Amino acid sequence: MRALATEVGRGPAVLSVASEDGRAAPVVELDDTELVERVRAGDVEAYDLLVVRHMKRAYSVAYRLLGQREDAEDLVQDAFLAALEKIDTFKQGRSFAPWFYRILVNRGLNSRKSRSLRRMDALPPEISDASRSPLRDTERAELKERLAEVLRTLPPRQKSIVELFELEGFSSLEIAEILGLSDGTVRWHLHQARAKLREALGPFVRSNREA
Amino acid sequence: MNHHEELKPDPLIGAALRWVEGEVPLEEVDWAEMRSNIRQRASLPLARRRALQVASPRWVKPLIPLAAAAGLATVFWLGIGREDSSLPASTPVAVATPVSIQEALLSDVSDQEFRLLVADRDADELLMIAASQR
Repeated sequence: MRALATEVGRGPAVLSVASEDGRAAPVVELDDTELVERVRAGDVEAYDLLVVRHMKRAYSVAYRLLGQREDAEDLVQDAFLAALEKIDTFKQGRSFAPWFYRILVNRGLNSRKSRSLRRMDALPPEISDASRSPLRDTERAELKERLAEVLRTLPPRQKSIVELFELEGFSSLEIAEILGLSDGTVRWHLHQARAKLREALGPFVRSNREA
Repeated sequence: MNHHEELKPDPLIGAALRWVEGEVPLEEVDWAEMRSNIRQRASLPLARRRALQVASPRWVKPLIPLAAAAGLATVFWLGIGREDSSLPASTPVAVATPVSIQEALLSDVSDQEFRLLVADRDADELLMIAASQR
């Protein structure tokens, strides 16, 4: 096995591996599947690189699921360790990301079910708008409440699907693998969720166009 | 809905979701600490994996049943051999007339039989014979 070296800094890890001709090639050239193979053999640096590669996106997904920083951090750590425990069940030739996010999302959904969340809505970001007025602010507040109501009433799985697709950039096929559903089912949920959200947005979009 | 066509994110829906739910506060997370925690908690399971790799490299695994069979066969064979060598003192080997070392060396006997044959010989005599064989 080729030797791995790492420089751990505040930013992304810079890892290298000695190639056959002796020159150092960056380990970032290794894809996730190759890293998994090394992790199976107990390679710490390969595992670390997988963590670095997926940590931020995993946190983002976890935060969307749980809505709390501490809970999301715990979920990310637990998911990475659970993935290590189950690494022998990962099938070579498949994509690592959906397999890993499936572990994370399932744990997140279970965690959300098993406790009452102390979800606090984030403060609304100030949207730069030169034409702000008390009337517009009221409209915005109403719209926000309407959208929040739609999101509250979406089935948890449907909400996760629309968040994973619209905010985290997963494809419908990846979401299907993550949630253990068929692609058709994911697309149906996505269509339903989008339709409800568009309906809530409708008056606002229309009034904006008219204005 | 065409299932073969890859769906594209809807920017309006995405913006609405971000607006209502807020952005994920990525800047609040101490990434170095999280990474270090995960690495630390993973160190033991990874060490176990390395130990297992050393104990049984992948290419060895298919050979384990063969090795076990070979081991059993060896034990069985040695068992028979031991029975032969532990024959009572009244057997012909034990009561045979002492032979000369030259005869023992020239005869077609096993190492064990050779040791029995020369057991009572003088060490000096054996040394001389060995020197003369060179």
